[in-house]
Amino acid sequence: MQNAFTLSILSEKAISVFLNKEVSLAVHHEVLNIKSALENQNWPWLLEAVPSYNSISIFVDFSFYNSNTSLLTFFENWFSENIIEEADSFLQESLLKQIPVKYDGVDLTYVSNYCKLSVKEVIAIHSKAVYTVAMIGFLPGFPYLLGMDERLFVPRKRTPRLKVAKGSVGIGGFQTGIYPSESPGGWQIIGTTSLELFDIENLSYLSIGDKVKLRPI
Amino acid sequence: MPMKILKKGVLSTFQDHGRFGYQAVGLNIGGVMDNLSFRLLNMILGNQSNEAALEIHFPGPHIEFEEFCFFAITGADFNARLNEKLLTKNKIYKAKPGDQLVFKNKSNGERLYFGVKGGFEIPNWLNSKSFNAQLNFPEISQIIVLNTKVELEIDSNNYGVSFNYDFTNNIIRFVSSFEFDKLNIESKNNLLNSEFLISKDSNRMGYRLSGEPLALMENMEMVSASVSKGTIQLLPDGQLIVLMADAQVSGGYPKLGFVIENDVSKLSQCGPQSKISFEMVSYERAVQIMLQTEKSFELIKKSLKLREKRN
Repeated sequence: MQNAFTLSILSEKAISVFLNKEVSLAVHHEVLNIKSALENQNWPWLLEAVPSYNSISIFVDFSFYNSNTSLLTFFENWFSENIIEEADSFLQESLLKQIPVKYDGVDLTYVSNYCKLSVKEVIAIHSKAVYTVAMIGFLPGFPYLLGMDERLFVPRKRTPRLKVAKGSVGIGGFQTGIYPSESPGGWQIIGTTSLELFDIENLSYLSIGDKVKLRPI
Repeated sequence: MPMKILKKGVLSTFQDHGRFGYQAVGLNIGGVMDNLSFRLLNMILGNQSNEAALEIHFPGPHIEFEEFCFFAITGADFNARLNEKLLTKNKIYKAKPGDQLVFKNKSNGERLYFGVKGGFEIPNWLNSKSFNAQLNFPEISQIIVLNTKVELEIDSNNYGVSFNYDFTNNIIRFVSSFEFDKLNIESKNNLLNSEFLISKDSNRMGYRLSGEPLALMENMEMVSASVSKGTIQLLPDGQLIVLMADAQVSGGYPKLGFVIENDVSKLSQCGPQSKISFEMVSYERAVQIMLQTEKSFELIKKSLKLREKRN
């Protein structure tokens, strides 16, 4: 377990902890376990622990330095003294959320050609999977979905579009996701949803750990 | 309305320290670009340290006061005038109804902070009054109204402090981290010894630099992870981008480290077409600099309190 984690300083008030493992659902569960372990410490200086696919970033406020001198030292010690339980003990109840998708995206033909699959097959494969929200980022409410079938892995555009429409469903490498608002972006757009993914009251419609199914309409 | 905006200016937004605790739903922190000038502003005004200020870019707004109030400006020098009288930054002024505040021309720096004693009455969303450029909710659009509970107790307008950190110094200190060690030797040399031009595509989200292209020893497939204000990212074409206040919460480019807090403020006062160079410092040194800054602010606070007592 000696080299299980790599710690990298992100700023004076943030540190990123990488699990030295390939992206997978199990690793992501481990990340979420670390998140709750960190939050259970009730450190007064902890602002937020932000999970990603295979890493977690810990944001602190200035008061951390009232009683400590180094984020690196502090968390090197903490991670060597605390054993985070492996993924199989992960017991979070996850919700299955359905998202209606109209598969009419501007890059659907490109994706079909790239993957050497018919458009129909692309839609069938993409909408069959049960995805897990691995992280939310890039834009408020933008879900990075884990669990896409390998046959649909398509690299991002070399030059990002200046405008991707709100609700666009895209593919970026091994991941798929949805643009909750209009934005520049480099993912291959295969469809659209009319579902609001972010609003001022409830914030993000999806949460990290949610299961998602895309329903073709 | 106690304050009228006669001309809007360009890209002036209300900002405070930002919105913390919502990165997990993709909401970026945002907040002021030049944190040093912002903190100083509220200290001079005797406001609580996170009272929102108007971050003004040139050309700035043309403001007419409709009520008595105390105000101050910090940060960039835009030749600010109250009824044609030239104003000094870092100093408290009193405005009366009908007074007009204008910004004539830009002489030094990019961002000016304008605040009033008691603060502006603007919508607070998730514990912050910072404008979020990624969202477009009419509910939190910003209408400029002064807080009606402005205190008018001070009758001296001579409060001021001398606090001029040097924007023209173009050395930006950074801490190496993440993929820095994977840069090839030539790239490391270039990063540490050559100059970078701030390109015109630089804004509150990030500063795009142009210089000698840098490269990693081998191409790496990156998995998206957190980024932050100050993060130095390496783009596929070998150019650098330094993420600024409106940085998104995550990114998938290799990272070379971060610009230290103080110098993010300094960098935010450097405009497009200016040249910067990088100086590497250790994380320990960065923390030391941060602690020193904290001490200087404590001293300023104390001296302001002393003067308040004398009045």
